[in-house]
Parts: sequence; C-alpha cells; structure tokens
Amino acid sequence: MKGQGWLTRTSSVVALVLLACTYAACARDELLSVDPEEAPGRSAPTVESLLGPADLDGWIDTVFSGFSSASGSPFMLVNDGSPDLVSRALFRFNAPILDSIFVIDTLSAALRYDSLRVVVAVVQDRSQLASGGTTLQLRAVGDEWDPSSATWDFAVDSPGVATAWSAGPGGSLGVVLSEISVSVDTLDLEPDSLIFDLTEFSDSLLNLWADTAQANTGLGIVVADSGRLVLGIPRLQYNIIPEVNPDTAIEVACPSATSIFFCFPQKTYIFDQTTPLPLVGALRVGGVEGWRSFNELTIPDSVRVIGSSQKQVIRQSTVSRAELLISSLQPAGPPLWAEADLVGTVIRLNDDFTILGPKTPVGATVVTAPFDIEVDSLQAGSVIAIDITRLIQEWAAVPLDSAVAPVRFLIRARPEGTTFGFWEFGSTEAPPALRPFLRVVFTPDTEFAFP
Amino acid sequence: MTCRALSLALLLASTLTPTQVWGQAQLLGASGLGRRVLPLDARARGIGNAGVSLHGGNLSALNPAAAARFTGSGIWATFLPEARSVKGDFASGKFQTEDVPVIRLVFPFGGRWATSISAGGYLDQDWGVEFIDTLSLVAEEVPFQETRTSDGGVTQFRLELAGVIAEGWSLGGGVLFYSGQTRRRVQRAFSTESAFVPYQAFTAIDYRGWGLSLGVEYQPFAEMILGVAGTWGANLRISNDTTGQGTDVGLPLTLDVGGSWRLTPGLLFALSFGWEDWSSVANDLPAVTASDVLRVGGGFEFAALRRENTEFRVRAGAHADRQPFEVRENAVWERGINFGLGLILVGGRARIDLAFDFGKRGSIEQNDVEETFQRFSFGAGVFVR
Repeated sequence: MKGQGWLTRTSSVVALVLLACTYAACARDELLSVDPEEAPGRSAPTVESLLGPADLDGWIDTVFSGFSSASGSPFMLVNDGSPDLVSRALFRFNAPILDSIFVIDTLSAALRYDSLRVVVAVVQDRSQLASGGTTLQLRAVGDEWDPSSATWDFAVDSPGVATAWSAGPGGSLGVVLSEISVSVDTLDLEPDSLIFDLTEFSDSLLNLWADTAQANTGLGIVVADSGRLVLGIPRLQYNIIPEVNPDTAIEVACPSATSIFFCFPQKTYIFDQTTPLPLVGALRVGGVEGWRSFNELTIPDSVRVIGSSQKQVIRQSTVSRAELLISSLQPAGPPLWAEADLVGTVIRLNDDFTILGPKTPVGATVVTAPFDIEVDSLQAGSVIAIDITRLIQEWAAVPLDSAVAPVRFLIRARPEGTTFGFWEFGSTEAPPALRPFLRVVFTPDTEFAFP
Repeated sequence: MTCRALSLALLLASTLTPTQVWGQAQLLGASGLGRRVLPLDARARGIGNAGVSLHGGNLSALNPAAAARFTGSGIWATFLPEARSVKGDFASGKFQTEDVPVIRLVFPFGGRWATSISAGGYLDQDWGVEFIDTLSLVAEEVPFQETRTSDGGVTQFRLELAGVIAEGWSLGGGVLFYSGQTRRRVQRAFSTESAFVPYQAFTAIDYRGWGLSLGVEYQPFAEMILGVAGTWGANLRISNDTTGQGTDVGLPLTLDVGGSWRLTPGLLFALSFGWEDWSSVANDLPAVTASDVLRVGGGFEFAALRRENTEFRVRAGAHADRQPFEVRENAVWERGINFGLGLILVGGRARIDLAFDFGKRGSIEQNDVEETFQRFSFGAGVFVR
C-alpha cells in the first residue's frame, strides 16, 4: 500500500509537469513562408463582380425631396441678377430684448437703447459679387411670416394655412433701414463681418421688438443691384443705457456666447425659383429641399465574376468590399447645381419605399466614412464609389435556405440643406454609360478538401 | 488505486494527445494524411529508434508482447519537442513542433499476464504557412497576406493484452482505436489601404477508425530478445464536420522486427526494422502519392554508473526512415543520429529518459525542399514493484 500511494503522488507530479511543458510549448506558433503557388492546403480565390441593373433580379431607384428647407439651412442666400434667381434673407429676433439690466447689483430699467447694428458673416468662397460691387439693403418686413414655411409667394404656407405676402410675391419688404456696398476688396479686408448700422433706429426698433403685444415681422436683406452672397446667421448687437447710470453703455449681443439669456434668431430665405423634378434617368442628392435617392437591389444568389464564365455563389460568401458606382450627369449650372461640395452618406431603409414613399422608416447610417461630392471636379460620367459593404455583407450572411429581403438604402447629403443646388447622377434608366453599377469583391466559402 | 491510476492515464491521454498540442509541423508533413508519429519512448529514441524489443523494460508501444515483461504496474509518458529549419525552392523558415508520442499504463496480473493501455500520436497534421500575394482587380491591385494552418491529427489508442505463453516466448495483441480531428483555417488579410474586409474560413475534419495489433517476443537466451510486431487497420473514416461529407481510407498493414542483445552486463545493442504499406493507402487518396514506410534504426546503451538503487545510462544510435507521403512525387527520407541519457531511480521505481536526435528530412534534389531537425525526447515514468 505504501508503494501504491507513492505511485499516485508521483503520477500526479509527472502529469502536472507534462501538462506544464505542453502548455508552455503552445506559445510557439511560427509560420513557414512559402510561395503562393506552393502553399499546402487550399482556399477559395477572392473574386470581383461588376453588376449592372440588368444583372440583378431587380434594381429600383427613385428620388424624394422635402427633407430640409431654407429655414433649416445653416446659411441664408441673397441673390439677384445672374444667375436667374432672386433670393432674399428674412430674419427676426424673438428672443428677449433686454429692457432692464443689473448695474452694480441694482436692477435698472433701460433708459434708452443705442448703437443697434446687425452683423452678418459672409461665406466668401460661395459668394459672387458684381464687378462693381454689390449693394445690400437691410429692410423692414411688412408682414408677419412663418420661418419654417415662408416662400416667395406666401408668408405662411403650412398645411391648412396659406397666407400670401400682402405686397405680392417677394416678402413684403418695407423701408430701407440700412445699406452697404460690398466689393471684392471689402470682402478681402473684412471677411466675415458685414455690419448694417441701425443706430438711428435703435430705440424704436428694440422697443418695438420688446413689446410682445406687437408682431415681430423682423428684417430682410436683399441685393439692390446684382450679385450673390451666402450669409451666415445674423447677429444683433446694441447698447443699453441704464437709468441708474446714464453714463454707462452696456453692450448686448444676440446670439451671444456669454449671455445668460437664450437668444437665437429665426431665419430663412425665400427665392423665386421652383426646383424642377429630375428628368428620366436622373437621381438627385442635396439641395435646399433635401433630395434623397432611394434604391432597392434584388441581388441573385449567384453572380458572374470578372475573368470567369462561371457564376459564383455570393450568398454565404465573405464580402470584402461592396460599392455602388454612380456616374455624375452633366452639371445643370447655377443656380440649380450645387454651388459647393457636398458630403454624402448612405442610410439603410427598413421597409419598401415603393409602397411607403418618402416616409419609409430608415435605419442607422451604414457607412462610417462618408463620401465627398466635389462639384468642381465632377463632369458628366465622373464616377463616385459609395461604400455599401456592410449592407451587402448583411444580405450575404442570410442562409441560402432562408428568404432574404432586397437591399434597400438611400443616399443623402449630410447634413442636408448646406447648398442651394443639388447634384445629379445616372439612374437605372440613364444611358448605359451613366447607369449605376454594383461592384462586389467577395470570397466564397472555402471547400476544404480531404487529403 | 488501479482505477485511480487508470483515470489519470485516460485524463492524460485525452489532454496530451497530439491533436490537442498546438504548434506547426513540417511542410513535408502537410501532404497526405500528415506526418507519421511512432509510439517510441525517450529511451528507444536514444538508441536509434529501436523500440521493438528491449531488455530492461520496453516503454515504447510498438510491440504489444513487450508488456509481458513488466513485473509491476507503471505509468509513463514521453514529450517530444522538435525544432525545424526548412529551406527549399518554395518554402523557408524555422519553427517548432510538439508531440506526445506515447503515454502508457501497464498492469501485470496473474504472474504471467499484463494489460496495457496506451495513447499517442499516429498522424500529425500540425502545420502552418503564410505567403504574400496580390489580388488583381479591374481597377486596382490589392496586396494581401494569407495564412493557412492545420492543427491536430490522428491519435492512436491501444488496449492490449500480453502474456508469457512458454519459456522464453511472449505473445501480445490488442485493439487499436484511431480518433482525432484536424482544424483547418484560412485567413486572408488585405492591405490596410484597401479597407477590404479580411476573409477567413474554417473547418474541422474528423477521423475515426480501428485496427488490431499482434506481437511476439522470443528470448533464446538471457542476453538476447527478438521480437516481431504488426498491425492491421480497418478503414479510417474521414469526415468533414461542417459539410458532413466523408471518405474512407484503408489503414496500412505494418510490420516491425527487432531485438536487443546484451553484449556485456553494462552494454546493450538494439536494432529494429519496420515496414508500413502506405503505398496502398494512396489508392484511396487520389491527389496524393505515397511510398511504403521503411525504417531501420539501431544503437547502443551503456550503463555508465551504477549505485545501489540508481543507474545512469548513456545511449547512442542512428536511424533512417522513409516517410509515407511523397513530395514532388519523390519519397522523403529522414536520416538522423541519436543520443540519449537515462536515469533509473529508487531501484527501478522511477526513471527519467532524455534523448536528442538530429538530422535531415527530404532533399532539395529530390523534393525541392529539405529540413534539418533537432528533436528532444523527454520521458518519465513511475512503477510499483
């Protein structure tokens, strides 16, 4: 029995030593370098497929708009003359107009207002001035208007309510409150600050705006002669002269990074153009109305691949890259064509847009890297590759014995409303050279052979 | 006690078999069913792989009749790390592998009989390669790096019975079970500039089979033992556990002949020959060419130091093996020189054996690839007298 116990203990030690040696050895895992043609084992080759609308079981595309408006744009467009567009900026400051203020810990009413001015930034690279300069007028607006629905013809154009401008189309602009002349030299010298001086109207305007019993019809900026300026968010600046200390002028700004009062102007721009619908064969992205391209791809389980007459099963394959290749159409020119670069993105559609239309529910953004639409470099036929790898991967991952829904997604600008104009590319009904293609680089599952 | 020791052995067998040991094998072993692993212990490795019949307790599992010579129960195991350096027209590199060629338990009973349970590597399919290539697409060239690995192999389990059937004669036989799995993986990583999603594929291939073993030992006089052993195998079932597809491969007939001669009380000479009918296996593997395995090995063991309960032995030998699966349709030969040390402790109740052999497999001329190897064997065992 003594010998047997000794055996058991020693056996355990031997087993532990052997296990330790084995697991220590596991750390070594080198690979031999071999020529590709001589590598043992096998693996399925990675193949490329270029699929046009005719190669798929179905490819539907269309456009919808109305996903943005001038009021949601980060800019205001004022334009007159060439190109054939009249556009005017409207804005107002509904936020509290301060009529009292603390001075040395004492709340004091405003004795009077002073030095009223409106400061507007100019986006230089998107503005075009007339050769002799462009005159901008700051004018009072005569009618009450709705920032989210005001158009060239209507002050209010929301569902069920449509109120035309009382003075006819164009915004019922009243008296000229201020006027400045902008030249190329001026812009170069002061790139982001057009200042409309309203000092003589300081008291009257600010008291009017502070009176909540009165409608705040706001201000408008128009081009008095010709030219195009892309303006930023207007800023109101004025001085308050307090009763308790008339020798002190306290400067107030709206909006202001330092003010404790929330202050943000309501703004929009109205224009005399109605954007035409896309022609047959054209898809559209961007623009003030937020055009979006909706796509539905019904991909067959097997597709032809480049360099082979045989079809390859793409379902259950590893999709390394999938791109939608779209071709730019001939630029329509200003003002309809995008005047600045756009950033595009792809968003998954969760339902059938051929039934639900523009209100089709959307999913998450499917690409992490947005694609750039550089309008200056786009000519007819210029191809943009849009990464839709994740969408095709998810489609391909569905088992072969399960039903799989078509791949549905939309293409939009991100954010929308950053340009007045849009960008167009070829649809499935475009001439063959301009039609979209689906490019997929994939690797079928490896059929491991027996030795 | 017996049950506990058996449980431990089975645990070891399931944990340390080659199919569980990670590492990469020779490129030469990537063809066919892999690299043949012999169930030799570290002592036999030190004497030129001569493990058919040996004086002083044969711990290898080549000859089932050898178990009849054990007078006490015992358990032992051998661990086999190997460093390899490959060079050739299509492959190069250095790597290491690890195998457990034999774990064995022996239980004598009735004075003349013994049962033996052993497990060890049979076919090793551990290998891994990498290469860089370029994917040519219509509008771009995309470099990629691909790795292909195979881990695992086939393990041989032996349940055998041996007995002394007459004065100087021992007979042994048993049942062999073959089991294992090879996990094969392909990974293709494209250049980061391409932003291509990597590709990978995986499958597992299972192996199942059985066979029979038979062996005889004859001791014409005290200083000499001669032995003959053979195995016969039924089909080895190979199946892909992903697709369910499978095929059968007939296992080869094997024959080993050998013996040992105690030239002086402290000097032993051992020699063995082996043959395995792998060329017939190639009929079931159309994409593979195979040769019959031929092997010869021999060497000496010298008792260099003896104390009351301790003995220190020095061993040397050489071996030559023809491997079963060909490369470039030419047979692959392994030739090596063996050295070993042995330490017998506590009057034979424990032993530790070390072996080192080095040599070359394949040849540039015949196979377009060759490898040099340095192989260590480490064995340990405990016994009850």
